[in-house]
Amino acid sequence: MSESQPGNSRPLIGCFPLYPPLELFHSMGMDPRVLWGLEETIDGTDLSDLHVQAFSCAVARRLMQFALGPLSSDMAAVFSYNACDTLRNLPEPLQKGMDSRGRSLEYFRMHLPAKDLCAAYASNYLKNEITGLISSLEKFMGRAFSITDFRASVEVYRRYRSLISEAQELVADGRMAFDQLGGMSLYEASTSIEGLTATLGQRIVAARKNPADHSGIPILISGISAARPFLTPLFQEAGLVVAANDVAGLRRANAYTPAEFDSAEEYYLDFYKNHFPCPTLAGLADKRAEAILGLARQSKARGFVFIGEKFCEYEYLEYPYIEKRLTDAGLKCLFIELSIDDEGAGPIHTRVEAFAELLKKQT
Amino acid sequence: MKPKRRLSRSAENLKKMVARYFTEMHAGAAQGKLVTWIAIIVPIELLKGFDLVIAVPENHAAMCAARGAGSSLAEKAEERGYSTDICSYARIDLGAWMEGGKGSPSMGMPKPGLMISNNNNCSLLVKWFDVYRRELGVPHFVLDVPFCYEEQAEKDTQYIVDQYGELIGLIEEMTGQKHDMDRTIEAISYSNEANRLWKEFMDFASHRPAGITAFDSFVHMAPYITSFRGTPELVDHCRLLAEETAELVAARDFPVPNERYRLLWDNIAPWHQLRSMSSRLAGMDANVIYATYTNAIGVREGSVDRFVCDESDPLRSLALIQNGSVCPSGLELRLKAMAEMIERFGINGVVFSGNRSCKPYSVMQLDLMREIEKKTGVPTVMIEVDHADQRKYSEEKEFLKLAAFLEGIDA
Repeated sequence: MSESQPGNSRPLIGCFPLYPPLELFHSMGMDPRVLWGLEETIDGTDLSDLHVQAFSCAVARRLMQFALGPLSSDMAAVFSYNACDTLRNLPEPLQKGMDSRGRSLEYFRMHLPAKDLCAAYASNYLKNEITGLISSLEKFMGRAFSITDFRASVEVYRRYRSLISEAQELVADGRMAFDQLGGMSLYEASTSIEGLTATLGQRIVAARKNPADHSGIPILISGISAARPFLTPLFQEAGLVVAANDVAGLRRANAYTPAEFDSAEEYYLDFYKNHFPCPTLAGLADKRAEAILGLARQSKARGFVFIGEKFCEYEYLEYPYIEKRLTDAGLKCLFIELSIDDEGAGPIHTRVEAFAELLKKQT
Repeated sequence: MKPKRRLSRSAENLKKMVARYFTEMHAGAAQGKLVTWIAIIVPIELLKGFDLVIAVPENHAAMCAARGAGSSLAEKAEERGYSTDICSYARIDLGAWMEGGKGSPSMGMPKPGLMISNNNNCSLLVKWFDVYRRELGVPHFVLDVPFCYEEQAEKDTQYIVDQYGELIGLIEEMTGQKHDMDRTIEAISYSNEANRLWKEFMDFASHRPAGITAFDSFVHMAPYITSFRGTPELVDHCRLLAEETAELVAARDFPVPNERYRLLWDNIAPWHQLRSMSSRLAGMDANVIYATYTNAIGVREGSVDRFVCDESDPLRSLALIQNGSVCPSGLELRLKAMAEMIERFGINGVVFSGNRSCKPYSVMQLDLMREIEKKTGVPTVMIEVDHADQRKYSEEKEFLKLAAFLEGIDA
């Protein structure tokens, strides 16, 4: 799991699901890694299959495989919060798997209210959860929480998020390939935030030198783990350019960082209240369609490609509505499903090409 | 000759209750009462403090599945873009609604004016109800219940109570009615008594041969998950059930007289297979005598014993039972309760039903199997049954596993 970064002695904490309080872990001297996707890291699910049924999504199966395998050998702790039903159930099986391998980890949990955080009792509950988490982390790390350190960590993540934002613009401008961005997701468990930021910065510097290319048909892509490298050449060959994304590890995770705050509790209240919508954030359900439509308008996307993760009931229950809203707004929609047991570019290639033809005919 | 139906008086009463539930639901809606769709675990006792029409989409979907209409209704939702990987309850209910109730044995349910979901049994339910909220433009109140890995924490109890307060305020505003806490307390009192009698009925599982099958409990739990919860009618039904079972046991009339295998079932009932599965198992001298699913009525997390709600502190009591229904509790709590069931009822095999439509019940079962075997020495098996979509069940394949499992118990 660790990268070869000199002097990196911070304990690694694996986090799931999508939007954990990374800045807090970082400020407490830990190295947080989001255990999500892991498509490029994990091959096979033999360890996971002992704990998670095959009718669970690839996210859960890969997460378990990664955590129980050798790649996470230097992981010292695990953090989880509630999102979907599958991931809500994983912490204890994960712990059982670790125990059976003689690995002793620290486990942290938090409940993120599935409520409108404008309600006082819900916001107070969240703030209390953060306070409790801080207290647990202080015990584990043997150091006190520092607002100064926390502010510094927030700036580390703010810097990264601003680079993601710039990189998304470069992709839309045809100066950067989408897979250059996809590989830079926070969900790269093998890389620390500092490593991601440095690599992304270098890629941006290189991309700025490229000429703009607006010859492709702009599309908007969406999904919980849609930034698969093998998709980029398919889009490119079909003459499509990813003008905007509603990808969990990219836009959704990085669109917002609170500007001002007096405490970690206030920071996370703001962070979750104003987060970019995601099906897993129940309190923001009403804002999702508008947010996607806004992205489509802003990017002048003509097509919407939803890349579904098989068994992700959350996204699948919202998709028909999202599709209708986008269709009503004049966008053509393509639904692609990825499955851990049946993943490959072949059949998808044909569908992407047919979709591109449809968009070209509209011109 | 057609075999005599066991629990015939209870079955007759149940039939009348279910018919009355749907009839009164439609009649109440016609009278202009606020139709309130709720998730199963939403505390009906709290809502009894108002004059509402209560309808339960999960119950409706289960009823459609039990009467053979599940798959065809699910297909209607699938035709509109809802993936076959979505929970079959949701697909069936959405399909029935899209068809205007056509194909549903109850002609569907009347249009809601309010929906109350909770995320303790499954957070998918929130998304399911959100589909209706967007389509129908009606308010959707989400009761957010933190999952518990240990006994429900005080901070969570208070958080749930706070939400009850918000919910009461919302309904008062919508209906102009004032919440009547005395009626809620009265409903809690009826539920306490119904739960006592339900446990009396369930405890006949400890008899050898068992006086009941879990399939009996699946069928007769129906009124619990309708507007009958918190009413004297439910108390009467549970009393009838307990009394009739006692009479049958006294007369040595058992569901599986040559019972050799006393099994525990873990997951939602296989609604489309109730009769065929129980008959076929009985033919193998196997009785599923108890189920985690129907044990969950009136208990707290990790427990087999009923929890008596404190009528002097109604909202807190109703909050304390929000994690009792298996899904909102973690592995250690489930293990504790199942080990107790195995010991108390002399279980000699556990059937885990892997249910792709219910991830919250199913994900963690593989670890539970190992832990159960380690802790109790009782063998376990995993079969795969979708609770409401018959298309995702292969009887022969699963019975091959069951037959091999029973042979293993003999060995």
